[in-house]
Amino acid sequence: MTTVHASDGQPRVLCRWSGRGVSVEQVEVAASKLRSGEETAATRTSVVNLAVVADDLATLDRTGSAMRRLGARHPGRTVLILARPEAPAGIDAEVTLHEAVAEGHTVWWEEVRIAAGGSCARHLDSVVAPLAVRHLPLAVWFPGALPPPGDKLAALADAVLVDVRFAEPLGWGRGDLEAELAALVELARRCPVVDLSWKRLTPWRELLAVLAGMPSVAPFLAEVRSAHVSAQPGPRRLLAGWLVSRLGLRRDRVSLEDALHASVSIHAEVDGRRATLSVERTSDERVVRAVAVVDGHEELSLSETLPEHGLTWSLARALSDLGPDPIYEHSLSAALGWGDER
Amino acid sequence: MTSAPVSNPLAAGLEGERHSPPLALVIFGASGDLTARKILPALERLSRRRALDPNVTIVGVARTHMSDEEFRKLALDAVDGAGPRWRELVSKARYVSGEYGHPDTFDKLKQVLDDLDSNAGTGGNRLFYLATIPEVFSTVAETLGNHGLAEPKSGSFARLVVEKPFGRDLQSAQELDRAIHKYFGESQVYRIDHYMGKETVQNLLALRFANAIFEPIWNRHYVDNIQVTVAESIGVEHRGGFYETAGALRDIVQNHVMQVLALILMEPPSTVEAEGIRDEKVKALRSMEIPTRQEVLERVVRGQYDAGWVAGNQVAGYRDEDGVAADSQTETFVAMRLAVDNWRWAGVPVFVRTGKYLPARFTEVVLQFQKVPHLPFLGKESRASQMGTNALVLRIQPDDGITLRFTAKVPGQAFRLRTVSMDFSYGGAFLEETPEAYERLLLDAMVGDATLFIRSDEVVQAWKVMEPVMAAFAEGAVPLSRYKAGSWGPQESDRLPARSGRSWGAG
Repeated sequence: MTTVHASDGQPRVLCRWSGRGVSVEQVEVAASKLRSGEETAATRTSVVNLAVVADDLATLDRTGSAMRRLGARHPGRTVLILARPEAPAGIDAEVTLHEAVAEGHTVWWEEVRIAAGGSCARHLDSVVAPLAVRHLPLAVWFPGALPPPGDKLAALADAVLVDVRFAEPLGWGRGDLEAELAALVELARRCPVVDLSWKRLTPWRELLAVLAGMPSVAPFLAEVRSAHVSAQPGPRRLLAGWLVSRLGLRRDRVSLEDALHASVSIHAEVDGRRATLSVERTSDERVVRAVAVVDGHEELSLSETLPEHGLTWSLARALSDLGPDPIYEHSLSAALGWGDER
Repeated sequence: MTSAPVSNPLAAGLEGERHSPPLALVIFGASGDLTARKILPALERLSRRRALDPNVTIVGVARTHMSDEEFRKLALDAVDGAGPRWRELVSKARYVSGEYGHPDTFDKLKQVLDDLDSNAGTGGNRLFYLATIPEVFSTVAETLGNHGLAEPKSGSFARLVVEKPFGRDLQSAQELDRAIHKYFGESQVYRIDHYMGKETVQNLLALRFANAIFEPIWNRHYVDNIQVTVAESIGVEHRGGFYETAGALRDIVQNHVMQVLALILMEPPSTVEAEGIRDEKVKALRSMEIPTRQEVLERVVRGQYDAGWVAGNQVAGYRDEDGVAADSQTETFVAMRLAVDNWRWAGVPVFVRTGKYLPARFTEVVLQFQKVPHLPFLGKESRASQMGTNALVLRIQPDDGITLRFTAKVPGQAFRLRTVSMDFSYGGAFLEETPEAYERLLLDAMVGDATLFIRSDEVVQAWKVMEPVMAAFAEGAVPLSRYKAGSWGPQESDRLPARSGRSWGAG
C-alpha cells in the first residue's frame, strides 16, 4: 500500500493499493483499509455508487477523470471495470483513495479500477455487488453499449446510464437507429434510465422553454405548425420526440437533419401572425443561442455558455437524480417511428 | 390574441421551474451597502440560473444623485465577472433619486413604473424592497401607500420586503407594523431574516418532519436541554456606531436565534404552506416563557469584550473601537436560559449564547439527550467518568451539517467507552449548487411564497420574550461582565448551564 502526496489544488490522491490476480474480497478489504489507515477520517456523505463497464482503457480513463473533476462534490464510490471475456479469468485491481477539500469540509472517496478477464467479465454483478458502498443506490453505465435484456449487472442497478449519442454512428450493435431506440425504450421499461444526452440537451430545452414562456410568445404554443431539428442521430430523435410529445405535433410536421451540433426551431402562426423560436449552437463555440421572433421582430434573444467539461457536467446532472423521468420517457417513446431515419 | 397566462408544456420537467413573474423590483437604498453586497449579487445569480422572467426590471431608489447609467454601472460592478444575462438585465435598470419622505420622489417613481408597465412588460407587478436604514421604513411604506403604489392593479401584485430590524423593541415594532399595515395588508408584507434563507435552517424542517426517527425523541422525555450558539470571531468592525444602538440581544437573539428556536420547538405543521408553518412557529414562540425580572437576573449573562488575541491577531477592546463610547454599556455577548411552557418541552432548559470576538465563528444548535439510566458494564466509580452524553448537533454555518454524538466501545479486552461523532456534511452530500440565502428569499418574494418570511405576530412575540431582558439591561440591573477577546465570553456564561450540571457544547 503506498501513499501518494500530490501538490496543492484539486482532488489529490491520499493513498493507493493495487494487486494482480486478486479476489473481490481482497479489493473490498483494501478499500476499507485505505480509509481506516489514514490518521484523520474525512466525512463520508456518499449518495451513490457508479459502476462503469467498458472494453477499452481510454473510455475508463475518460470517465474516471470526469468523475474526479467533481472534487468535494463527488457523490461516492466509482468502480471502473475493464471487461475482457476473452482474456484469462481473474481480476487485477487498483484502489485509490482521493481527497478533496472545499468550504471547510473534507471529502474522501474511493476509485476502484478492475480488470476482469474470462468468466469474471461475464459475471460482473458478482464483482460489483460486494464493492458498492452498501445501502446506497447503484448506477451502472456501459459507454458505447446498451445492456442486453437479462443482464445481471443492469438488473442489480437502481438506474442505468445511457448516452443516446452513441446510438449512431458508433451504434449499439443493432444495425439501425430505429432498432437502437427501440432497445432503449425496452430498457427504460425494465429500469430507470438516465440519458446523458438528455441531460446535455438541457440548455436547449431550457432556452426554448424560456422563449415559449414569454407572455408575447406563449399564445403561439397552441398553434405550432412545424419544427426543425438538426443534431447527431440519437439526440436529434430525442429532441424531436420531446417536441412531438410536449406540443402534440404530428411527426410529419417535424423535419430532421444531420448536424454535429444541435439546433431546434419551431414555427407557429395565430391569426395571421407568425412566431419563430430557435435555439442553436453553431461552429465550435461552446455557446447556445436562442431567439424569439414575432412578425419579423426580435422579441428576445438569450445565450447560454456550455460547461467546459461536458462529461463531468452531464454525469453530475445524471447522478443527482436517478429516479424515473416521465418527460424523458415520453420523449423517447415519441422518438420512435421516423421511418426515413437510418 | 389573449394575454391570459398560457401553461408552458416545454417547461415541464426542467429543474428551474420556479421562475419569477414579470415585475419591477424597486430597491429603496439602491446606493447602499446591502444592495451592493447582497441584493444585486443575488439577482445576478438568479439571472444566471434563468430564474428571472425576461421582463423583470430593476428600479433603484436612493438619496444619492445618480443617472440610470451610473446605477447600471454600480450594478455591474457589484458582481464579479458579469455575464451576458446580468448585463442584459442591468441594461434596462432605472434609477430614481430623491428624499424618501418627499412626494416628488414617489411621483417620479410612479412615472417610471407606469412607463415600465407600458413599455417593458412588467405587467403592473411591483416588489418594493426596503434596503434603507430602518428609520425610514415607515416613511417609505406610507408614502408608497398614499401614492397608490401599495394597491395592485387588477391581476397584478404589490409586495413589500422589509429588512430587519423590525423595530428596536416591542413598541417600535408595533408602530412599524401599524405604519406598514396602513396601506399594505399582512399578506403583502415579506419580513426578511437572511438566516431563514440558509439551506441548513430549512433543512431543520426536513430533518424533523421528513424523518421518522427524530420526531419520537424530539421532546422532554429524551431531550435534556437545547442550546443555540451564534459565535462570531470578528468584532464590530467599522460598525461601532450602529452596534452601540443595537447590541448582541437586538442584533442576533431577538431575530436569528428566536427564528431558529421556533423551528426547533414547533409542532409538526398540518401543511407545508406558508401559513401552516408560520402558525406553528408563532405557537412555539408563544410557548416560550416571558421571564420575570428575577429570572432575568438569575438566568441572563451579558458581557463586553476587552482587548485580546483572536486568530493570532491582537485586537482592541470594544470601548476602544471607533464610534463606541468610552463608558459604553452595550453588550457584545449575551447568554441566557429560556424556558418553554408546553406539553412537549416543559422542564427542558433552552440555553442561548452569542458574542463578538469569540474564538471561532459558527452557528449551531445542540440537542443534548438525557443520559442512560444505568450503565451495566463497569464498577460504580468508572461509570460516571465514561458516561458520555448523546447529542445531536445541527451545524448551521460554516461546514453545514449534522453530527450525532454517541458512545462506543474502545477496541480491546477492557470494556472502555468513548464518545464518537457521526458526521453528515451538507455540502459534500449533494451535487447541486447551494443557493445563497438572499437568492432564495428574493425569488420566494417574487413568486409570492411567504413560508420563510416572518409574520407580524412572530416579530411581536419574539420582542415580548426579550422585553424584560432589555428592560433589565437598560436599567443596568444585569451586570456587564468583561471578557477577553478570543475567549468564550464571561465566566458567568459557563456557570449558566453548570448550575444544573450541564455544559455548553455537545458534551
